[in-house]
Amino acid sequence: MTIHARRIASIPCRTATETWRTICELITPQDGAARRELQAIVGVASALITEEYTQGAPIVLAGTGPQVRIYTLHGDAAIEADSLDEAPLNHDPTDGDWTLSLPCGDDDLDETLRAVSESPHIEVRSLADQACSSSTSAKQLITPRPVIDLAALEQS
Amino acid sequence: MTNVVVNVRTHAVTHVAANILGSVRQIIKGCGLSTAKMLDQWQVLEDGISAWLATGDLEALILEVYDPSDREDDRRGRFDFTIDYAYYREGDGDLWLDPETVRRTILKNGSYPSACDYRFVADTRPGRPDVDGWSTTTLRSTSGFERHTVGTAIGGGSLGASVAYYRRSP
Repeated sequence: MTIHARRIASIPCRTATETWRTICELITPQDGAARRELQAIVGVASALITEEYTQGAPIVLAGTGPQVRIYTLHGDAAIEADSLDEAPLNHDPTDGDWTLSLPCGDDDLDETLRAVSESPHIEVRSLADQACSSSTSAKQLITPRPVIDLAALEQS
Repeated sequence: MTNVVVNVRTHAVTHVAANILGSVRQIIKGCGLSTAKMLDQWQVLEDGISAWLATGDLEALILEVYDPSDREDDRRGRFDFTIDYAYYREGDGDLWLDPETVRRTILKNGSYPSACDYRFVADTRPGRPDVDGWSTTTLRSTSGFERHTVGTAIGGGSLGASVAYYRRSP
């Protein structure tokens, strides 16, 4: 299976809703029903991004063409992000049938499932479902939130 | 160097705004209330908090909890995230979040009956710019309630956000 991955700089470079908007525009190049469905869940998507669930486990979009996996970058990783990681896709994955899967911590699973219940193409999965799918994602899941030394950044 | 300083300030505002929202969501959930209303309003909340933090006009974000079925006195509780714009006069500018402060707030406050509702109020300085989706209102009285400050939960740049909760006086 061919997979296209993208890493989108999030907090503190973008707010959670700006991050979600960037993701929506990346995976739905054309304004239409798919983009509207994604924009309608901006609140719950922003909550998941704020919790940094999407840092270690990707948002997975299965549709037309290669599968798309989108991670969000936070803290130092966001500040130092390479813009090439956000390069536009060379296909429109929502041009046809598609499903988008959001990663979610078990504590937030119920409320997230309720929040997307009226979105026919959106699924929610537990982080535990794939915590050990690769050593990288398992490691990221247990990494504490980074502390950024902005003073050092100013001096650099 | 100027660009870096501007970015540092913007990053601090984004970090503090995001973590106020994340912490408020944890409090709503931890106190037994549905987060659905907050998720519906997330964009508007984020727009207002970010804009008024950036201009220095946000004094506090307040979560008021009330029981809409009680026509005599619907007040049940309140949480304040109070902004200190000079929290880090001599600080090193770290961006940080202390989830333990939020957990302690939830633990000390306790939960509400699920029939309770809530609303968000931004306490702002006079002359603040308008933000779409926000309107003016008056806070419920805190007479008969005691304010309990838990501590500073979020820091970024020169900004700090402390958490306090209100419970009815015994």
